[in-house]
Amino acid sequence: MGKEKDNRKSKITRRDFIGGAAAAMAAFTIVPRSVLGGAGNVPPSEKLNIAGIGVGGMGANNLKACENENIVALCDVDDKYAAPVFQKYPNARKWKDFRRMLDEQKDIDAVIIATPDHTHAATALAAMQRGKGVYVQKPLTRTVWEARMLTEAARKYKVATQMGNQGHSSNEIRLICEWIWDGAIGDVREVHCWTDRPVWPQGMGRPKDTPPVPGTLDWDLWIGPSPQRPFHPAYHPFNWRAWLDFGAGALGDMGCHVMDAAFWVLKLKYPVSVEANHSYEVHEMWKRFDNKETYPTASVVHYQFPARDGMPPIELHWYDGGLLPQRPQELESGRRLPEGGTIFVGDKGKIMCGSSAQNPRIIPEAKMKEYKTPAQTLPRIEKGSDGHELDWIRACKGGPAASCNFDYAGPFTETVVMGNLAVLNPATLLEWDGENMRITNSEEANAFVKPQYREGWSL
Amino acid sequence: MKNKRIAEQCEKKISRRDFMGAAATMAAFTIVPRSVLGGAGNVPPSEKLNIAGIGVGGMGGNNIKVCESENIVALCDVDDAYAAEVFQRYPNARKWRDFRKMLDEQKDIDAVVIATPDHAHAVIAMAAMRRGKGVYVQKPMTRTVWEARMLTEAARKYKVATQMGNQGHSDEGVRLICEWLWDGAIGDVREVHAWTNRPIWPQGINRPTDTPPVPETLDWDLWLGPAPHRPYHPYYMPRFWRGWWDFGCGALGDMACHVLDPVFWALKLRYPSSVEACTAIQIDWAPGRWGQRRDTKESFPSASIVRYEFPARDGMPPVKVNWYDGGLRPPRPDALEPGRRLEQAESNVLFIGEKGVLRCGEYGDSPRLIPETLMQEYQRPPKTIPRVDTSHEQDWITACKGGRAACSNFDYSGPFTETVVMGNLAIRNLDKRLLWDGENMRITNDEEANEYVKPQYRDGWSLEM
Repeated sequence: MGKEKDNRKSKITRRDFIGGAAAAMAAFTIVPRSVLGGAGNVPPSEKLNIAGIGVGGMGANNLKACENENIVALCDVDDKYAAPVFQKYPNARKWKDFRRMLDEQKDIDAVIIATPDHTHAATALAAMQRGKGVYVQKPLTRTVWEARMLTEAARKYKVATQMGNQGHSSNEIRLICEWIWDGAIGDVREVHCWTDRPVWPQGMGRPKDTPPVPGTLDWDLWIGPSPQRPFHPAYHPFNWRAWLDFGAGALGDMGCHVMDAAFWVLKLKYPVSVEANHSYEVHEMWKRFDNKETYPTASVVHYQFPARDGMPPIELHWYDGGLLPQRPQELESGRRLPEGGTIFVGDKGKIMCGSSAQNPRIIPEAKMKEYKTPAQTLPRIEKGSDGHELDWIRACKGGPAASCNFDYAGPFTETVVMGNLAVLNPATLLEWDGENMRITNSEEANAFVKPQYREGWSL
Repeated sequence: MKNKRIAEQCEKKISRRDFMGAAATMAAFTIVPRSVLGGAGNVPPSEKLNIAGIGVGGMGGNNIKVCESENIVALCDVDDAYAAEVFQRYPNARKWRDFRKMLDEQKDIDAVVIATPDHAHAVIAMAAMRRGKGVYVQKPMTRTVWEARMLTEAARKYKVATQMGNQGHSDEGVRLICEWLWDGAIGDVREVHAWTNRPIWPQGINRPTDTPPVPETLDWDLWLGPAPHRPYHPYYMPRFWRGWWDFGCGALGDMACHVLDPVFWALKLRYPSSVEACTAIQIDWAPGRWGQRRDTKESFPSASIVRYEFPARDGMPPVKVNWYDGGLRPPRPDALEPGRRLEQAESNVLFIGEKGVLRCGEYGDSPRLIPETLMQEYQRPPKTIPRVDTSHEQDWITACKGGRAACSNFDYSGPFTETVVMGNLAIRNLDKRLLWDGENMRITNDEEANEYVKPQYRDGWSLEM
């Protein structure tokens, strides 16, 4: 990965390194700055220069939360989709190609990446190689190998990182940790996580018609490292999550939220095995639709984790597309399961929370009321999940590492998206060597561990 | 609801043939002259039954073939084209479109084989039983709980020979499973997983909006029978009706009367205490409807998990029975040896016992204990359950002629069907643990969930007993 000079080792800051001429290009930098502190870090008193890459969707929200900094650049392959955001920040320089932006606009300190999943890794790596802090929307990457590469790159380039699972900054996820570590529900051997996603179509074939590429869209750039295929609105702007080449399905969309509390509180890392099954589509009598293009409409994924750190082995069950765990007996009649959430099954009780750890409750409510909650031991993030971007900005300015930096988010994402190996190879117990990123009992199941990048793209 | 006159006939032990009397002269195709013997509606074993098929274009054609030892005297189907092959096979059988006319006018019929779509099972079987005819009804016996109860009661009232068409119930496998489980082969069973590859027809789809012309060979109004009227579409018949709430019962209705049969029998189940379900959300990808949620109140979802809980009964502990369809299935059982794959059957059952697992296929076939060492070491108990050494249809024919009750007669298959199709109440009422009062056919904790217990029949149709 790192042909580029590692400027941290020589203690030359990125700003120094980037040097004079480029700085002159930074026409929109409002606050003059002197260089202080560690590599790539801006002193807390100064404003960061932030670039957004992929701003038409969730990126816009992330940028909004960073408005106290300088939004100096916006990059999107689709002018039309990005138009409202482009208009909102008239002083930001506008780009289509993040590679040109990173090469040419030298005043950028940090980037927010909210492109479709298939371009997260290439974009984030390019930014980190240039010493920029990166905020990457969840899932960190579409595949296991890409997550590993970004995790290693973050360590190598010592940049501030954060994955966009904002629930990780919440007060509630910390409550769950404190309660379960306090023994509120005893040992946990079983966890159920679910989401109502996909709320977009899955389980269909590749469209056969080839509508013209909208004039506002650079389709080749949108495709990025993925194999080329004709443009279709079935992929862009919203529907890419369904497609193996671009997204990571419901698991990729929501797993990094829903499984976060379990991953943290239960100190999980890599599963030892995973098994999945999923729904099929039937369009003609006796013919299952043979779909190798999109994720299925509904899946169940069973992860097995070994004992770790004084905790017993656990099974984590993932349900999507409308599928749900069995309602716990403890749940009062009439009380609904949240549309996404987690149930921790302990040997002394159960805790249920929503998809980003919100509203954690011991069930039934009567037991919650009886519970004497322990003292707060984990530091809180200011503004909780609303402060997830600011938490990262503090890290970019030399503060403590962000709550969901890649040391946590990397292995977590690997575990989330490796579930798709099982979805793509259903009804088979796949044994997983997490350290080496290998299914050990099915060679063919390894095909999706690492993506094949198109010529001209690499990590 | 009561047909007093016929009830009295039964009570007075006057045989159906006597009752029908003069009408026998109409039976032009009856080959063997018969004298009347035995109980109501029974034909002496030495004589041939006069059998009518109702709904013969599909599975009915197969059932009738197995009944060829008897006289096939009548065939009834609302679609001449779909039934043509079977119509031709039995040139001497009188052909009908309307089963009501057939039952009223052709008096020589002793017994009927009913293999119509599910929504018409109950009214047809009831009409036949009221006239004292033996009935073989394809599975599921009925589409709804209440209809199954009505047929069960009618069978007792009219004392006719009955059989549901879950033919695996006549096979060796299901008997072995009973004998092994009752012998304690895997200890107490508290958990069962059953799954099927169905639906193998489209589900989770919207009601079609185009209205192609009704084929000339089809009486669409009769096909609809008691179901609410809607325009004809090939998405309903002949092949896709199982996917629609108004006509079928989805994958559960198609297959659970087979797949859960050894579970129901061997674990001595009756009514569950609760049921809940989750189903695949249907998001449309058709142009013009892209991204819209499909209406699963019209068509069953493409994939479901139904979770039944049964109370302790007869020395057996409470048991959870989990049903999976549309590609879903349980995870590998822990007892399965590493590297060993489960047999790849279309449908499967896993009984999870405290000492091991019993696996079988969709008709209770090929039972094996898991792990294999348990199977190898197992001393099989003596075979104590009587075997059916003919066929499921012949088992019923024997009953029609006064022999022992058929193995899946309505005393068994009625409550069994109730339990199977009540699972669809949960599919219609997601994220609820529905508590079931089986005796009274009521969800006790959710009034609106009872809506589907009993169907609304169209004007002119009823289940009068």
